[in-house]
Amino acid sequence: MSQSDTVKLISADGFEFIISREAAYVSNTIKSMLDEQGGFMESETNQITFPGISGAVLERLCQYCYYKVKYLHTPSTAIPEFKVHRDMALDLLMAANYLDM
Amino acid sequence: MYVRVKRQKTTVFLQVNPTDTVATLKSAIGDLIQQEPSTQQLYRGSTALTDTQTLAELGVHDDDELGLALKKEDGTWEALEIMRHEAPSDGVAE
Repeated sequence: MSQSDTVKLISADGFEFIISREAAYVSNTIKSMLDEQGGFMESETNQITFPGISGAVLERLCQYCYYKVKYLHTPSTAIPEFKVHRDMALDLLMAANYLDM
Repeated sequence: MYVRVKRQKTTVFLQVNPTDTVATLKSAIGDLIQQEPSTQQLYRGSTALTDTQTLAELGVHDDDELGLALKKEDGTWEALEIMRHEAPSDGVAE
C-alpha cells in the first residue's frame, strides 16, 4: 500500500488517522470530498480536517469503516456486534450522520 | 485484519496478516510515513519487538494497538509516547 492509497483524517483536537482509501470510502461524505471532479482542495492533499469531531469519536468511526469493509459480504447473522460506549453514542451518531456512513 | 500503529497523536491503520513479521510491518509503515524501517522501533505495550517475530507469535489480533518510536537525527531513539483521548477510547460498553 502506498501513500496515495491512504487518506489522513484529522480531528478537532489534532489527532491524525491514516486509513486506507477503501475504508474511508465507507463514508459517502469523504468519498465526495476526495472526488477529483468535486474540486475540493482535499482531493489534492488527501487530507481532511473535521473541526466538529473529536479524536475519540473519529478513531471509533475509522474502526467502524474497517469493520464494515471486513463484513461487507458476510451474512448478517454471522456479523459480530459493533460495540458503542454509552457516553460516546450521541457524538458518534451525529458524526456518522454528517459523514453519511 | 488490521492493527493500529500509534505514535504521539498519529494512528496508522494497517492491513496485516498473522504471518507478517515485524520487519514487514516496518516496511509498510515506512511507505506511509516516509521513515526507513531502520529508524522505527515497534512496541506492544511497553515491550520492544524484534524484526523476525511474526504477529501470530506475538499473539496480535485484529484491531490491536502497537506503539511506534522513531530514531532522532542525532542517532538516539525518542521515548515511546502515545497521546490518549480524554473520552473513553476503546468505545466498548462496560
